[in-house]
Amino acid sequence: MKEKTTLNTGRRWPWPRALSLCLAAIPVFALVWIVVNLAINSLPAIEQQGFSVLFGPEFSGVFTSAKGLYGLQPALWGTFLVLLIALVISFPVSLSMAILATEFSLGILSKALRSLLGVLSGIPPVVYALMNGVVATVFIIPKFCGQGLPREAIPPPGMTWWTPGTLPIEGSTLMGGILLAFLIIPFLAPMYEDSLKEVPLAQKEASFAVGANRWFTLLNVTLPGALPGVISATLLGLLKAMGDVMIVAWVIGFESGLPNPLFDVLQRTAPLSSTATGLIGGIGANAAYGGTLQQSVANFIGLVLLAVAVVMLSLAFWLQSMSRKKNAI
Amino acid sequence: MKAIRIVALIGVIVSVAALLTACASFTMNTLEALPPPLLLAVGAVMLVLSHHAWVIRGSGRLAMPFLVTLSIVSVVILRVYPEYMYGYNIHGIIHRSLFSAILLIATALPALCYSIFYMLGARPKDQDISRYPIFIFPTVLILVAYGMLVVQVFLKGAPNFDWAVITRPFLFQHWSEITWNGEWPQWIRRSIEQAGMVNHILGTFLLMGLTSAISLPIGVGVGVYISEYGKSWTGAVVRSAITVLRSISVIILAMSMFSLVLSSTGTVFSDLIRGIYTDIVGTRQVGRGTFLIASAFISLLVIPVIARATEEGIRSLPREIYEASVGIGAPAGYTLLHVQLPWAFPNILTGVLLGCAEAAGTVTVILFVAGTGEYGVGLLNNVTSLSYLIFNIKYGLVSFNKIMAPYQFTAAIILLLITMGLSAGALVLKHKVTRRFRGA
Repeated sequence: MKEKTTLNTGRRWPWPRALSLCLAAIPVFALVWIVVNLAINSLPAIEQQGFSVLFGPEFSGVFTSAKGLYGLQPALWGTFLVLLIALVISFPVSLSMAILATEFSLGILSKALRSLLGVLSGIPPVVYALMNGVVATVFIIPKFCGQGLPREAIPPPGMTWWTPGTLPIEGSTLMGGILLAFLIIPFLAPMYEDSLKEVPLAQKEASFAVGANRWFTLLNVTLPGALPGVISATLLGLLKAMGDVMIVAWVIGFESGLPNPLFDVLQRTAPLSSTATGLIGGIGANAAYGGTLQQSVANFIGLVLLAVAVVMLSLAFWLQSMSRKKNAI
Repeated sequence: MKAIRIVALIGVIVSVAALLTACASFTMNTLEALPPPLLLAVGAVMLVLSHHAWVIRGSGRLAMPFLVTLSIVSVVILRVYPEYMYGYNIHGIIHRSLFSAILLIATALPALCYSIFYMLGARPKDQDISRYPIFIFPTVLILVAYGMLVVQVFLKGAPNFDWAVITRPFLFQHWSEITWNGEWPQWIRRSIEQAGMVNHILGTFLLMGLTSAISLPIGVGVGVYISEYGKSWTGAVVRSAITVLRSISVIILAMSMFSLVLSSTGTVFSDLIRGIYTDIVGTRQVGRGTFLIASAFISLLVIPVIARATEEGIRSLPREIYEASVGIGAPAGYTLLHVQLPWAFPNILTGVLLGCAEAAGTVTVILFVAGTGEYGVGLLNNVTSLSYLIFNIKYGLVSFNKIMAPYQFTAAIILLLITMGLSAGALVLKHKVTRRFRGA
């Protein structure tokens, strides 16, 4: 690529540089303040509990006023389970949508699909959380209904997904994962599309020139070339799913405890974000009721989330720069 | 040759039937009779086709014999398995049709591809057409699911949709008034309870406006700095800060705002941060967080969006136009104001629209400080919005829930219309941007 030549124009009127630097400093300072604030507020938790307790398996409940142990292993495990379910559902779907938009194009239908995804990406998480009745009546209850659900959670006979009225069912880790998958698919598919487009045309043309068809080219040229980009896009999508509170707080709840068979997704294992919400002390008018130690633990969870986000982001950007180097001609 | 095409056509029909059965099996438990014969039929077609491929064409691979084996194994599994699986302390009873759906998809989707391939004549270019079902099937499945999700909001909200509720505020207050009956004071208990959401709707719009007013100058400034002077180390710092801000959990912002609100109590900034309002009786009350501070924190989410849009817009300016401006002696500020920013304007507007959608849809940021929207909407009033209303009906106070519960889906309808309209507008703008003049 050609270097951008710097033109000596800013000498006489340097105000754009000064003004934009002043404006650009605001979010930087805000971020610094947020991190420092989190660190200061999480000091009591580290002092009183210690890292061995904080990363331990004991969690004595969100709504207890007694001074208990606040180990984050259940919440970390819940985050892992929810992200795993969301990834298993959204990865194949988003990848096939991206391939339909680029390699195996359907003409005007592909454009319509792209626009539809753009509109769907505007649905806020809280509305997805509100939509849990569909997932419950259509999938969860017919397939998994059983001893875990209390009797009043089973819907009355004749209840369909369009009947007005809300279900008494609270949901499970599985339902949270499914709704998170719905949340991130409109974001993953365009990113996959971009990373598929980043594979240079010359490589594909070389493949076509020796007589390969589109399917062979996709499997052997495009997908391997786009792999780093696809992985980094997946990491960004998982970050979005991990940061979401509404769906998991609504469907899974705030309480956290390790499920007994570890992979039992039909129990409720609250992930980090909703555990932090619960530790602050509920929502709205209840928010001040959380104790000092609980709020401090919530701030520590914020630090953990921030650290995970930074690690995943740097991994994603490293992969992107790798793929850019690999695809440069 | 003709016979194998007919067999392949039968294979297409059987595989499509199997896929439809699989989709139905995800919701229904009553289709237990269908999967075994369908699996066997798919296996039989695959057996014929693999014989054709191996013996007559001599070009077979292991995929089709594997599919035959898979179909037989699936039938055996479905026969041996009990109808309900439970035990191992799993919190639920898993129905067999879930496994039959998964096995049907695993068998019938590749079988459909091979059947189409041999139906079209097994030329190399037919392989491309025959692979479409792999991508179309999950896409259509998930789009139908999205359709059900969106349609259900409208269907559940329609019966309770009431203009009166939309156009009046939510009120909930109990108080007592003193009247003098001769020499004796008399307390009359008065109460007002009224369902309504006009303050929530207005609050949503106020949040959108304030957020874009705060984040537009900062976002544009950040975008200009990154695209023009981003090569220095300060540019790298700004860029990484923006990226981190975009992708950190929203709950971090919420907790930061909550701690700010708690620590501002009793200071000079209390009115600015916590807010102040007058209730029905006339008492002045201290709020829990103003619209101003809430939109300041939401704009931390929106600034990266606008910054990226601005950067893209300035980057897409053709080099010739930039050099034409600089070449006739225009200073950097003039070029920025009259060439670069006007060119980037549609991109910036796209970013603002997406940011508005974000501000309308976000609940988490205002989760700990929002109120029920009883006392009007203004800069220093307690923050509230439609999305918070939806969440508050789920987890709020019982008194609030009792009044507002029927209108949860009404609020969801209005919110969906706002956010989906905004993102559709952003999409149209983006489309126009990509089609505009791109230089010679």
